[in-house]
This record gives sequence, C-alpha cells and structure tokens, in this order.
Amino acid sequence: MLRLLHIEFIKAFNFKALWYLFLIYILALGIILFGVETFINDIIGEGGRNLPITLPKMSLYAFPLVWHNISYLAGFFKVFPAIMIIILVTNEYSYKTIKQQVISGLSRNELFFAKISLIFATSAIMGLLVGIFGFILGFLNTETIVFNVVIAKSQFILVYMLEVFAYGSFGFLIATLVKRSGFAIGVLLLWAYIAEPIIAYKLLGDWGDFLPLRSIGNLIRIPNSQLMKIFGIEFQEYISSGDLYIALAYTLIFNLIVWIIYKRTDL
Amino acid sequence: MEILKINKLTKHYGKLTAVDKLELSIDKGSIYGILGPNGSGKTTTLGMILNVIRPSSGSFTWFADSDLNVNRQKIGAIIETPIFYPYLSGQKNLEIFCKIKKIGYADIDRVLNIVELYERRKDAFKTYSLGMKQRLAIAGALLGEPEVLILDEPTNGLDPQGIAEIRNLIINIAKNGITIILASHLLDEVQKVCSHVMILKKGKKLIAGRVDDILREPDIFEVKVEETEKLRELILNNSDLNLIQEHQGLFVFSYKEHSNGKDLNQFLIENGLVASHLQKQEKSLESYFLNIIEHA
Repeated sequence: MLRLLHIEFIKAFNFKALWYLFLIYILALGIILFGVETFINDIIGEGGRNLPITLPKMSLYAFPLVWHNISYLAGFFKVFPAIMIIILVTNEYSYKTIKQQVISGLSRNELFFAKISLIFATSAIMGLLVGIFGFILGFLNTETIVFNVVIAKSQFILVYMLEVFAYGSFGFLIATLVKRSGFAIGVLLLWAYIAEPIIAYKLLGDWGDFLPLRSIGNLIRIPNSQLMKIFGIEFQEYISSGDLYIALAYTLIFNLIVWIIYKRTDL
Repeated sequence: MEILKINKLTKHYGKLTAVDKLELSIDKGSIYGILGPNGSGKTTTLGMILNVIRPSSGSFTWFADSDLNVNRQKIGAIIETPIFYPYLSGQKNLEIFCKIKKIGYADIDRVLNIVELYERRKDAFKTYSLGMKQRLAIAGALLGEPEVLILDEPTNGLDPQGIAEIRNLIINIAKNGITIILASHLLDEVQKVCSHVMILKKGKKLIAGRVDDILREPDIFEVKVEETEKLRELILNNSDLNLIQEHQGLFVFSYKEHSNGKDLNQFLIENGLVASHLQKQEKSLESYFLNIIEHA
C-alpha cells in the first residue's frame, strides 16, 4: 500500500495545478476560520446593546468547542480535496497513463487501491491541517489550558477526515465515470450545489437527509453556539452513529462501483 | 522453453470480432513478429496478453504459470504511442515504473544509457522529440531486465534515422537473449528483425512459423502462352507452382525457391508449353505478402 501511495505521491507532488488548489484551500480556510469569529462577535456586540441582559463574550474557538466549530466550518471547503482527487484521477485518462500502468505491471486491484491510498492521504492531510488550525485558534482563545479539555471533542477532526474521504470517494466515482477533468468537476459542482439541494427540497420529510452528499455533510452538524442558544435552538452536539453508518455506506458504495469498473473495463 | 501460450483467444467488440480464436506459442529467445495490416487485431491481441483488454473468451499463459500478476514484472512492453506523464521528467517517469515493477531506482541510469537519454533525464517528457519519447518508452520497458519485451509498432511515426536507431536497438537487445514480441504492419521490419512470424488478418491467424520459411523470397514469374487452359491445369496440379494472378492470358505465379527463368522455361517445355512471354518480377516479397493477406 505504501508503494502504491509513493507512486501517487510522485504524480501529485510534481503537479503544479494541485499546489495552486491546495494554497487556495489553505488561504480560504484560514480567512474564514480567523474571520468568522470576529464577525459573529461583532453581531453579538451590536445585538447585545438592545438586550436587557448582557451576553457572555464566548469564543467559538475555545477548547473544546473549537473542534466541532472548526471542523464544521472546514466542511464547506471539502469540495477542494474532491476537485484535487478528480484532477489526479482524470489525468490518468487524459494522459492514457492508466493503461500504461497496467502495461508496466500494475494489477487492476493495485490500480484501484493506489487511488484509494491517495484519497486517504488527502483526507489525512486536510484533517491534519484543520487540526493544526484548531490548536492554534484554541490556544489563542482559551484562557486556562487543561489537557483533558483540550483533547475533549477532538474526535471531530477524525470525523472531518472521514467526511473528506467520503466526499473524495464521490469525486473518484464521478471522475471514473466521466473521465474528463473539466467535465467531472462541473458534474460535481452541479450535483453538490444545484441538483442535490433541489432534490432534497422536493423530497418529503427527512428523506433528503439520505441523499449522498447531504448525508456526508450531516456527519458534522451545525454546532451550538451561544448565539443560537439565545434563539432557543438546540443542535446536535455529538456525532451520531446513524449519520456515521449512512456516510460509511455511501463511501463503500461509491468505491465499490469504481472497483467494479476498474476490474471490468478495457483500458 | 515456452514463454507464452495463447489458447483460442477471442475478443468481440459488439458484432465485430477483433481477434478470432487465436492460437499461438512463443519459445524463449525468439524474436516473434506479429504481422498484419492495420485493424488486423495485433494491438488487441497484445492488449489482452498484457491485461489491458479483457478477452471475450479463450486464455493465455505466461511462463507456463497461471499467476499473471507475479509474472508481469518479467515483461516489459510498449503499446502504440509512448505514454508518460508529460509534466514529469524522464527520470521521474521511470521512477514510477520502478515502483510499479518493485525494483530500485539504480536501474534507471542503466536503461537511460542504453537508449542514450541520460543527458536529458531531468527534462520534462513534453519537451522530448518523438524519437526521444519512443526511446524513453523502450527504456521503461527495459527496466528490471525483463525476460520478455513486447513492442507494438515501435517505429511508427519516426523519421528514417529514428527507424534505423530503434531497429538496431531491438537487434542489440535481442542479442542478450531477451524474447521479443514485435507487432508491425511493415513486412520489411519483421523480415529484418524477427526470427518467427505470425500473419494476422481480420483477427484470424493465416500462417505462422519461422521467418525463413514463411517470408522467404519466392520467385514470381509472369508467363504468357497460347495454350492457356493447359498452363492453368499445370499450375493447379503442381505444388511447386502457386497462382497469384491471371489476367487476360498473363499468368503470375510463384515458382520454386532460387529458380531462374531458365529453370522455369525448361520446366514449361518439358510439359509441352512454349512461352511467348516470360519475366521474373522484381520486389516480389511485397506482392507475395499482399497475396497472402488478400487471398488466404
């Protein structure tokens, strides 16, 4: 597996477009993470003037709340790693290197698991990055650091990795079906931001929650902020095993379809 | 020792049968040519024995062993155009090959030197000329000292100098005892390079064997006689004579190896025929090959 990952690493590390995407991702994530708190605090500050009670000035980024808040916000950017995966998968088709690798001696299974290792590594890097941001923001915004408090709820980062992995697997499926990078990215964006929301809206009851991307997004639900509590809204503050099962099932299905395609098709 | 055994290998694309119940056996150390016009199923056949194309039916065995994945490391191959990551250097591209073949990077310098690309190894693949790209492909196929080298149209699209370079390279590689399977639509190439040949047409094997036996230059004559019926009968009943064409009383046929006009004339007279026109054809190999392709 490490050998397969090394092969993918040579391809990815030397591909410039990927680095630009990665830098945009870091920049966008950084701006949002550092910007959101000031924004919300300003709202609370403004709104607080007209309220009879004074609102506690509570940071979004204090340990341990930071883990949930930050992984939720980072969730909006999981489309970046998915696009990176689409580019790397479709490259193999546009350069015809998918064929060459089999000619050189990779088995169909190895071809498939090389890409799985790529998606896994991408998720790990993204998770690590968000984790580092979490630590920085947490230490900056927590008055007294207590170890147990710091690591409490840090499982959200692990779940964020799963979220990126599941979303990346969806990108893998689209890339394998469509084979052309621009087209595949278009299909992903169209499905994620237009088609699925419309279908979810048309579906009755909670059935929309079972749609692939929405259920992956449901892994980390909107966090409970102090602000929300003022409005009396309670959100799910934990990872539910039900959400986990649905997302895992989708991940399995996406990759199973790709695996069958890799095994069966002529290259 | 048998390197490759192909058993009733077949590939259908919808109604089209690209390869039809192909049988083939290749021995160690031979340079085996697969000769046929474009679309005769050469690349499809190579694709199947390399696991790129799934056979519709039939089977093949490498090294008399059933585990394909283990044996793949012993096979180097180039199919059609050279395929590499254009943005990676020659060196990096070969590093990927090394990882795939589970060998160390040390072999890269050796193969780059064989194909004379060592100086350009740090340059991106997309900056290479077509000849250099093809040479890098051969370098990739040579990594890990394979026992078998598969080459599909290795001189396609190259200029005369490039063609000569690649052919000499192949002949030099073969001297080291590597078994080579070479697909080509060029009779001349197969004749110059190969020890054995199989001729394919529309996915079917027409003939296979030693190049010396199959592609020997037969002597082809044009003959005109007054008694055409008698000559036709003589040609049909005599195994030394193979009719290629009959047009307005002009018979074109092959005669025994190394024969000349005198031999044939004598033979005709012995059979009571007097030729009014007798000529030995030049460039007869090409027409002989075309004849096999068209009439078989």
